[in-house]
Amino acid sequence: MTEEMKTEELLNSYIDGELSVRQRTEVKRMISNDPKLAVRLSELRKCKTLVGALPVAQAPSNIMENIKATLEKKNLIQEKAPVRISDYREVKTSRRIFAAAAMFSLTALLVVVINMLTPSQIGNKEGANQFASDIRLSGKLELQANDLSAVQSLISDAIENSGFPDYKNPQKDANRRIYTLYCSREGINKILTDLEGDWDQISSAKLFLDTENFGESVEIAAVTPSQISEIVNQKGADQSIKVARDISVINNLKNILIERGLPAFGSEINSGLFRVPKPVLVSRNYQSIQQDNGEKTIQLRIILSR
Amino acid sequence: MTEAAKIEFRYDRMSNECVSMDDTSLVRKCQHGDSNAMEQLILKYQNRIYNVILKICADPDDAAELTQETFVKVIENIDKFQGKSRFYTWAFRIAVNLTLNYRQKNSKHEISSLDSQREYEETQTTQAMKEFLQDENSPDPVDVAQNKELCDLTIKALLQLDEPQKAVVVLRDIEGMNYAQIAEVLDIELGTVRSRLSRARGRLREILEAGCNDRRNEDRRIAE
Repeated sequence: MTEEMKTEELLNSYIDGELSVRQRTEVKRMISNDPKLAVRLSELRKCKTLVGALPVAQAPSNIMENIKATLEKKNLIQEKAPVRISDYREVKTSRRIFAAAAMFSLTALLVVVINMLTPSQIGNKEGANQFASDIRLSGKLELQANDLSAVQSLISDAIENSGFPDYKNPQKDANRRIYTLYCSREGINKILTDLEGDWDQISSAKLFLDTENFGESVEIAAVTPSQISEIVNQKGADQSIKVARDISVINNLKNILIERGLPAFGSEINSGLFRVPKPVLVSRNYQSIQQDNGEKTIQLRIILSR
Repeated sequence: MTEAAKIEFRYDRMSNECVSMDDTSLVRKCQHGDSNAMEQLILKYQNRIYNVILKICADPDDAAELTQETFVKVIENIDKFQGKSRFYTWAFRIAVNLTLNYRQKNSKHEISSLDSQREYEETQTTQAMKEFLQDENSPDPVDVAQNKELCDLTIKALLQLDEPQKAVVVLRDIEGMNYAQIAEVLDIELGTVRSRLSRARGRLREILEAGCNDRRNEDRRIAE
């Protein structure tokens, strides 16, 4: 950077009030000793005044209306989007990659278990007051069932029994029922506990958990109520997303192995080696749910279809 | 009253409704699904955001659309806003990013910008601007604001800056943000704000000066 450029920056910072007292004094001294600099400063001030004096235009009066219309339209499109085929179905991998993936998933599982068994350490690191009220989770649960009306009735009952009668009636279209829940972690847990016994009536369950990056979500295929609870019960949104990613890997791997016809390995999975622990194991986390004072921190849309 | 406070006051007077509640409370209410709070936030910032976008893109229709898009994105992502920055800078960041991306993708604006540049070079810079630039006294912003000619010429000169330069000038001199806020909105270093603003003002001055010189030469030719 040349001396001239440095001086220019200094003068601009001076007129913008972005200099320290010492720097301001220095600029004042420079100006008083150099008439050219004084002229330059006056020119820059004029530029600033010209731009700053430009008239303020008023935003069109229909902005609010248009925002609402756009949001409604977007919601409709989002709800009509076809269910995406999971990436794992398209992946062609060798058995060596399976082995590597299995190792990875074991590591991920280990991370999940460690996270659950050491909540107090995490709490100490992040600060005890941080977790409950700061959590903001949103997502979509896509369920498919052969008997749509039976499962609809189960979901509506679970929602009502959990103390949310306002949400029990879904939006309906030809083949889908949409519930939009806005409730506390405790509320979601109650609904999931109620549904867990009847989960076998659901042929496909996918959870899409929104992340902090706009438009990006974590997709979990073949998700179970206990896994959703596990995600919801984490101490913060970041932690929930991390656990969701781990579970996604585990579920995908499990499906790949079963599809690839590895019954021995598959049976190990089913027998519990890869099973993600249920929330009942994380008693200290569960206690933390009692502390969120029923604050509505979770938004979940349940979309039920055939 | 600070510069930023003056600007805020200027916009508040324009709002249809005086929004007295602070942003933190409004955002918190929005996150709990309060649509009234969201409407208040929109009312509070719609003119400011619209103005910044308009000064960068120069097309009222595009500016209106981009303002709407900004608020749609704000609403869609309000749950993820964790208060690490001020809502004000977060919303402006979305607005400016959308505008700069839009400008980058739409070549028609480059053409209109070139047109406006040509028009400016061919016909502009009047006596009023010449007098303004030559006047040794400090200009009164109120007088400048009331002089339509000066304002038109300044807008045309502003349009000739490249987008990143235009963005810093608009955020600083129209929106009244400090350098740290500009750095946050544009996601650039503080030093980059300083250098970019300095180059932008230098260029702006050159454009206005060049117009004056062209005009002076033209007057001389006519006299000869």
